[in-house]
Amino acid sequence: MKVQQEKRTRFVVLAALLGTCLLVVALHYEARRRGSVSLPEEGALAVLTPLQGTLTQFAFTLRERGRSIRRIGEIEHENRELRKQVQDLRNRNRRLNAKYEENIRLRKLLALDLEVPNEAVFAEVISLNTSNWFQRVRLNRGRKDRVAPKDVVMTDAGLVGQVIDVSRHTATVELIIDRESGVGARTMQSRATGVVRGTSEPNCELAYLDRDADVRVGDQVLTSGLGDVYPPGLIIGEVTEVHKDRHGIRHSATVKPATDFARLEDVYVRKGLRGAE
Amino acid sequence: MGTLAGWTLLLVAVVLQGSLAGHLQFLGCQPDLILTATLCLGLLLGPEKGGLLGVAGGLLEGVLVGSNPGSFLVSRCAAGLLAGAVSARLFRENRLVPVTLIFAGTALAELVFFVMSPSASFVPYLRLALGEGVWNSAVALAAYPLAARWVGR
Repeated sequence: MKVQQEKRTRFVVLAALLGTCLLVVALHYEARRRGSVSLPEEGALAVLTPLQGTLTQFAFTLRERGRSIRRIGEIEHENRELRKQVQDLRNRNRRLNAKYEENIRLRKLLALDLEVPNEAVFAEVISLNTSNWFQRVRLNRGRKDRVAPKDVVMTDAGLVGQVIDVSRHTATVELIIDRESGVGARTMQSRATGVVRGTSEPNCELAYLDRDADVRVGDQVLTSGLGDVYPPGLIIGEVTEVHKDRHGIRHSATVKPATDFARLEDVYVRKGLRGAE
Repeated sequence: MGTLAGWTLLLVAVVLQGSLAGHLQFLGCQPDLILTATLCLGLLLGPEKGGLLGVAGGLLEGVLVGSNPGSFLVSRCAAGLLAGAVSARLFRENRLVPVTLIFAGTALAELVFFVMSPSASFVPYLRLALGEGVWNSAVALAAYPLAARWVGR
């Protein structure tokens, strides 16, 4: 009798567990359709995010310290060079500021509107790639900071990726090196168009190039503005290899992203093409 | 005590996976600390608890990655169940046994994951899965004895 009751309890627990799992998975896909995260995920993230953020920052600091110690001689030399550069840039900045103010005055005289830059939200990476299968990061900005799915994520070096879902306080970013990522692109020099696809490796592939496209090693690759996410003219990276088969049917190139994804700490989020409309 | 300690260990693995694992890249691979914890705990606590911890670990991994929670859940649950099922028949005191099992468990879990969420091509996937298996085994070499002490086995 007791054994039977125990079996029944086990069955009920197992059924409840299975039901809960199915519900959580169904809620995930329903929320993902809207570019959001489900309530259980939101709860889990609310608990995990502060801990992850702290530990991630700690790991970044530790790594940078280690790197600095190894490169101390090189850093001293670099520091001297940078001081010189800072002085030059200060002088140049002064000249540019004068031109800028003059520009504003002239625009006012001509009654032209100043171009308003896209509203950007600065964010920190709180969780680096958590799996071997997806190249994604999580940011410490979410819905409350007006971050939305399909927003574009960048660093000062170049394109990082796009926001794929947001919770109240966090956003998940699909990096351009993720195997599911595709970015409409063109080369700066020859204006050859193609699609930069992620390969889950550090480099991307510039695919679907025209058979006669003149693409060379060292060419800069920019977003083309085709598609509904990335505005044109954002830096993606540089061509490091060109692949053309003997029959000239397959023409592609390897692109080294301008952003160093292994050292991704601070980024900014701006509205994509759809959000800017 | 063992169960509570097991859940605590799994949560620690989840937090570390989301913060430190990404920094441990070697030849393009990183360890999966949640899967390693699930396998270690399955070996130590048996199939039922292993499976249950696998379900929770898989769900949380899906939440962390922001994708495919169902595939993570099923593959991690299968790994926890298998580790628990074989643990009774093996001499766990030999350090190499859990380490080898964690390599095999990782390969199985990632195979199940691949079947449920196929990626572009199998060969690069296999390379990553094997690399992850090596990483997880290396982590388990240090983590398994600690986990065993922690859960009191």
